[in-house]
Amino acid sequence: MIFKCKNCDGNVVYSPEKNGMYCPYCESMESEEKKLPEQGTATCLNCGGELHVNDYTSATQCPYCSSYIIFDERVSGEYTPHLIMPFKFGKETVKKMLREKFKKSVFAPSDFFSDAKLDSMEGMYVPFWLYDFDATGHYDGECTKVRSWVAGDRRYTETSIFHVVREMDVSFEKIPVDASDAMPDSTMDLMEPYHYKALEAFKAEYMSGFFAEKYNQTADIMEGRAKNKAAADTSAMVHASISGYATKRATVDGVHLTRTDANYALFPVWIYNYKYNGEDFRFHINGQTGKIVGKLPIVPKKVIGYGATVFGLLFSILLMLNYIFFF
Amino acid sequence: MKEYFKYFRVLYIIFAVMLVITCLVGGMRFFASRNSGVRGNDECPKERVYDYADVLTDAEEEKLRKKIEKTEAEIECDLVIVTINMSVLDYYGFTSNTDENWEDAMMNYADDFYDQNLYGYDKVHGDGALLLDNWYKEGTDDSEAGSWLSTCGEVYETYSMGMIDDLLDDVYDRVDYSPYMAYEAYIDHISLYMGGSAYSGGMIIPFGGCLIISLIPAIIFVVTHLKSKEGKKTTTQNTYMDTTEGNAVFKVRKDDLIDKRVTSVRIQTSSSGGGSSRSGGRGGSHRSSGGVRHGGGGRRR
Repeated sequence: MIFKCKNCDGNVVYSPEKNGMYCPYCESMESEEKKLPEQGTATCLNCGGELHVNDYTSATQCPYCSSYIIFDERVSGEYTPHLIMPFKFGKETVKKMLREKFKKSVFAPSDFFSDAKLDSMEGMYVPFWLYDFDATGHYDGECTKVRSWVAGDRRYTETSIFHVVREMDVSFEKIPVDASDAMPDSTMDLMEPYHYKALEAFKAEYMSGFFAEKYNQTADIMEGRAKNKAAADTSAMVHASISGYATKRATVDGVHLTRTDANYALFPVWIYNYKYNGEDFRFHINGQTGKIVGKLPIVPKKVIGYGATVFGLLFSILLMLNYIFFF
Repeated sequence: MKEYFKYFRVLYIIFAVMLVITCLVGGMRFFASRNSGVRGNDECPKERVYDYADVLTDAEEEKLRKKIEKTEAEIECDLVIVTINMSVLDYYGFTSNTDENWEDAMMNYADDFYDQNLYGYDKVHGDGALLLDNWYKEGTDDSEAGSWLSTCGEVYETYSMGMIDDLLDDVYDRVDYSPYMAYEAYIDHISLYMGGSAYSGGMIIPFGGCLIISLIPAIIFVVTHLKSKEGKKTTTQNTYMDTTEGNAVFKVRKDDLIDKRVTSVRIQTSSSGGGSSRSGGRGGSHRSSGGVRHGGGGRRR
């Protein structure tokens, strides 16, 4: 599908800044008209140009006419997202955020923050599974408390042994796990949390103007990562309640989990690819909270130069101190 | 360039302040040096090395004289070396070779030598030190071999018994294989503690130390800045917890005391040993037969 402007027939996109559908050609708002001609994934609905997409791409941009195309069969049926979190920040805002966050990073290449490079940033809806779990945490063990005091010329140590039992029920809601093979799991974990109040029922309009993928793996396959997160959180809560002990020795220490629900959602992510010295540096920016995740490229020569300054100044200061106080 | 100076502005400000202070101190020292360093005592002999025991070569004596001349100018204290090969016990009429008698005799000989020759940098019987080294019958049962340090004036005020012991250690460590090096160590020790340059070439933090102290933060700076972090985890164990009332409650929460044991051990007390303090000065304080206040100490070999 493609969203066209009723006024000028241009490609209408979702604008996070304007919080609505916007035609960048005639600058009209809410003038979109969904067009659903017969579609494959091979050609652009606007110009007929060839589209290069992979098996999971559900929305892309035509390299010839720059129109944003949404592949209907990849956002419908079993691939219909239950929920979508619309982009809150547009590209210009994210550019400002990046410059603000790294304004003190003097070791980045000088063109890292240039408009030319930052304009290559792309917004993408990443598929996520959101899991609900009921968890029960168990702990049974022996813990000790140690108290010592001095009386006369002797030091006394009192060791109290306790039988400690905990059983706690806890429910988790919407533990997110990205369902895209292309997105590094550790990076996606660092982008959390998303604020779920902004979640909405799926509307394809939000996808116009952005790239997107359908889920690569089913909820059952991806469940393991969510289970690990829920188990770790439950265990941390149980252990946090066992405090004040010098030692802990568990005979039972475990978590039992039951999945109660799983929802398919699309989350907004801005992706900035930067190449330096043949190495790819990829930044992911949470399109809802603005959290930035990525390793900044460093110019080694610059760091060494600054390091030499640190050495030179400290050495000179020490020599002067020597002269002033001790010569 | 603007970015560079902004980054290092604090260090550059410290550097500039230090540079100004260094220039001021240097200027003050320059003017002060033109008005100081003048001996206040011309009545003592020029000689500083009396090798009556003949344990030094002529060349070694000359080197020691030159070193003493340079050090005296720096620390403004007279430094005298006297080697003897005679019975100080007989000289002072002691009949038995006890440690007490030996110490009295060596002390008197050293103090008298200093006083009678009118040593003292600032005035007669003023600032200075004398090392008396006796080689009489070394290695025999009735040996009187050993060293005595006599201090006077500022050196007396500065040197504690601990420092005197430290100096004698330096001397004894070398004297068996090289008396020259032993006497050189005596000059260096006095120079170090009286503000001279013999040990460190004018620096309390030696050049190598300055180099290492500066190099370590520079290396840490480079290593830490060559790597960048991807990001910080900003979720907690409660982030995805259902916040409705009644969630995350403990069905069972027990902490039952099942046993209690008490053990005890005797506290080991350590008593601090004796020994002389390294600080305070005035070590071995006494008056010489001439009535001059001296400090000092010595020991047999």
